[in-house]
Amino acid sequence: MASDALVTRGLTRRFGGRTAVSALDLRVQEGDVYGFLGPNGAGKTTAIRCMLGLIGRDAGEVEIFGEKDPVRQRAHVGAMVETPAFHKWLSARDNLRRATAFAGQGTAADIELALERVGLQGRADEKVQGYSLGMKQRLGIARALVGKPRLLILDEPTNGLDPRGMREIRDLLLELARRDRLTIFVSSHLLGEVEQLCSRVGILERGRMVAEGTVEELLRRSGAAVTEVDLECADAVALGRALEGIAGVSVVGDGEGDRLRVRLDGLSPAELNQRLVQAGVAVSALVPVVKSLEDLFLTLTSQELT
Amino acid sequence: MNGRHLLLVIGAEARAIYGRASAKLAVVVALLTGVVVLLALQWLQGQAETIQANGNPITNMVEFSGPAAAGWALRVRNFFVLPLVLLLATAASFAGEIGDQTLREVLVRPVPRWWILLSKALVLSSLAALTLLLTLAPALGGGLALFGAEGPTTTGAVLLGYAASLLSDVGLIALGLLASTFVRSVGGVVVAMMLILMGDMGLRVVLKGMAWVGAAWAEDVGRALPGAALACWEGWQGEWDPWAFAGMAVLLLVGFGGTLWRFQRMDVP
Ligand SMILES: Nc1ncnc2c1ncn2[C@@H]1O[C@H](COP(=O)(O)OP(=O)(O)OP(=O)(O)O)[C@@H](O)[C@H]1O
Ligand SMILES: [Mg+2]
Repeated sequence: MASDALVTRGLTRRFGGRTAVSALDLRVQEGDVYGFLGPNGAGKTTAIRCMLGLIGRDAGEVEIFGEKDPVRQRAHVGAMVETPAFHKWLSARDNLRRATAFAGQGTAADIELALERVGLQGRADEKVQGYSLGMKQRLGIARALVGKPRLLILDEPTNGLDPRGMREIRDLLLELARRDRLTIFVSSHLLGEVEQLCSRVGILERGRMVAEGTVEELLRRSGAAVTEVDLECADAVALGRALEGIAGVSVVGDGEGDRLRVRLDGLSPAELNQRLVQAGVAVSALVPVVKSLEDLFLTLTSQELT
Repeated sequence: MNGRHLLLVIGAEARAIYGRASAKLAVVVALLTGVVVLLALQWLQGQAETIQANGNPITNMVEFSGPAAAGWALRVRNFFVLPLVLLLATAASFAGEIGDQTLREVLVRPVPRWWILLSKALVLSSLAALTLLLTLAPALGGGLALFGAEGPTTTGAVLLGYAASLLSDVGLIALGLLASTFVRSVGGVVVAMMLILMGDMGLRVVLKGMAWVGAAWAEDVGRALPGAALACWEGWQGEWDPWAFAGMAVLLLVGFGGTLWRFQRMDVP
């Protein structure tokens, strides 16, 4: 059984009257790539700050690889919180050297490897002053890698990257997880990215965890009852007429391609098919609409800012 | 977390603090102060015949010797520019790092917060000591070569003045660090310190007034207030004021202790 990399129990942080993180229980196992999701203001960054000891907590505890002492915990962690900050008058490489000094571990070779991994080795001697947003983001990830971490805690790491950059960072994180056996805890609201990257997800809403599990588990749980199907039929008029006669079906609009999307209410896709056949309509395709993580996210989280 | 790690952290802080413009400015100003004071004295000595006061040549009123040159350099140095630049370096390394969030990037590492304060205090104090040396060396060395050592001012007294100035500088650093935990910008710290020292000056006037109308204790308290404590170095010219040093002890305790207390509890953005 894999051991726990990061555990929080009852983690709570209030700002004045607002509870930004509320009794957060979370378990990330060694080897996981854990996606920490939530809308703006859900409390992701606040939770991460609490885990790293940057801000105090009103209640709860944090354990990292079984370690309870906050200083020694951080010896295992490489972190990037929000937009990474640098000593701008120092070169990128000198900023990483500074990071290894504070980490107390990490060699010149680690620095070169980290620079190479984020594609910055060619410009590492330039002052960070002249770096673009995306370059700073990459350098921030490189900095998280230099202290020989076992756990990466990354707060929206692809923020500010172009599509290629996002792809590269995603691939890098996957490689770090698979080849270097790093455990990764990554916050994001880019659901497509999380679906491709993460083995487990937790969804935070107003400081509370509203869903947690593997991506498949969550999708299965939410999509257990297929509520929408796309229908394909040569005779669209006949199909429309037949649907009007079936209770529990309503037309939503256009589906994929030339298909018609309908919503089922108390009717399974198989039953719908049977009724259509009875009505003499030959349907050439009946495709359940698979819900994405995005749909789940939108159902579970409200729109207004907390 | 061991001795080697702490040394690495101090080294990294040194690179950051000495790499900033404020430290470079401090070094240049310190060196210039020593050299310019020396050159000014040399020029003045050459003007003995032309500049006279009440028929006395200037050389009879101004002391020309190595220790005297070093003493003048110290007075000029402490007048206000160098303390201000040291305060800037202090504020940049703490308030500045809180404000631009670079402090966060080291707090996510396995170092206790007091290590970070200790490193900053040590490196800033070393900068103060370096600036004192850079002023002392040309003023005293050049002064001895140009004018010799003869005169009422002794080398020992002047060196004590420089040592006490280091104490004053460390006190200023302590206050600057404490202010940084309240105001998270470099300019804010400088303004706050100016207001505090102005208030301190006003308070000392009031206390003096109270002493004048009979409250004897008021004068002693006034001599221990931060402004007076920061001026404890002035004692080298005549008499050392124990009250100023008592005030300095309190200032160091409150400055470093208060900074540590607040920093340990601070939410760092
Ligand atoms: N220093 C602070 N003072 C007061 N309120 C704060 C502070 N930091 C965060 N909050 C509040 O806590 C809540 C959570 O904020 P947080 O930054 O953790 O959200 P987030 O999930 O990271 O959002 P985003 O996706 O926008 O980054 C918000 O309502 C925010 O206003
Ligand atoms: Mg955030």
